Amino acid sequence: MNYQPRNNLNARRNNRYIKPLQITVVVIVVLIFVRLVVPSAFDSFFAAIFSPLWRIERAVNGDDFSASANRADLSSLVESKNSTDSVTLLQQENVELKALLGRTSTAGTLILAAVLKAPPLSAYDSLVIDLGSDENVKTGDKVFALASPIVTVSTTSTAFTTTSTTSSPISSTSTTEVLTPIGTVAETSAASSKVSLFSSPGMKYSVEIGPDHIPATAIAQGGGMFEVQLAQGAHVNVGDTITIPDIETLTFGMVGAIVNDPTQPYMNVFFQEPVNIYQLRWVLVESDQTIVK
Amino acid sequence: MHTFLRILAAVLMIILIAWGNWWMILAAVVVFLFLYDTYYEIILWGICCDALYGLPPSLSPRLFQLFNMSYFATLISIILLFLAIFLKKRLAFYS
Repeated sequence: MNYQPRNNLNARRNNRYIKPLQITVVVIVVLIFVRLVVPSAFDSFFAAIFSPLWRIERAVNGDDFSASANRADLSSLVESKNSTDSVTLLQQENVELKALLGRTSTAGTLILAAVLKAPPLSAYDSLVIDLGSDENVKTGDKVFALASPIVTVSTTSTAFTTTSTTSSPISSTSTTEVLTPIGTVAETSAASSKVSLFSSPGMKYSVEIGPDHIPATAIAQGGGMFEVQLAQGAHVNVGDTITIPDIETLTFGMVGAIVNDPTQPYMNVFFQEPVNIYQLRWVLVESDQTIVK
Repeated sequence: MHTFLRILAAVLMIILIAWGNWWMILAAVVVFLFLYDTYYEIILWGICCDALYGLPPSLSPRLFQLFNMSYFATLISIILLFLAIFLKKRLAFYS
């Protein structure tokens, strides 16, 4: 029986690495070269291929709205949903007071965008939306979602229906929906954009917690979750509102849990965005321009 | 026939990248890595995922970055490619 010499076998085994190694090195060099010469080449190329596929999916689901009239109608619908009578009055008063004090709102136009891809389908904490540079969406534009942080439940005990002779208590739930910031536009291509969510792991934000406006730094944990470390004894309760310190008060999240270890000098406060980022189908992009296609 | 199956695999990968969860993509490439001799396409899928969903380094500080772009999926794909070659050399099934 003939045995293959050990040295030849090892050499043949090592040769298996050479070709993949060469190809990998070539790919990396090309990748770096293209990235330096045309920074958004790969993004635009793959977005051009995949955006039509995602649009087809939305069209099949009946969520597609390519006509400008539909988009404008939906935008106004969302904005009107966001403004009940009392909220509108308070907003007007807020704007008037700020104007008296020499501070005016810098808010731009809100454009409705469909979410083409959201976590956990994408491993990153990012969204892909169907608005791009063609609709004047720019890097850094704020992205909002409608959230329902305040829920009021009222019960009527003596309600009667006209078709039935039996009486039954009816509970009605009314929600006050508010706009909440969820991220910023990170990159744009012609017909789509990538939105970086605020909860992208490792990002840090200055926030204020609760009615005492306790200043703190929130560290994003991913998946819409954040963590804050506060000194022991800080007056924070579950359900407290987290806001961004700005001239315009925007709800950033709600305290979900407080982990308090008496042996530690600090306590951990966990909060989440008031909107479920996994179920987002529509978002609003704040753009300086009013052009809507 | 081999080329046709490889094209079918590429179509499946495009479908998964467009509509599948990230773990479906991972599972599919692992299968293809062991199905084919050297599955070079995995690097392309890594670049594709990074280009489609990757965020700039300033917005994704915990992920591997280079030249103002995240290369997390690309890096994982290269590691998986060489890991598969390394394992195949040591599995009796492939000798």
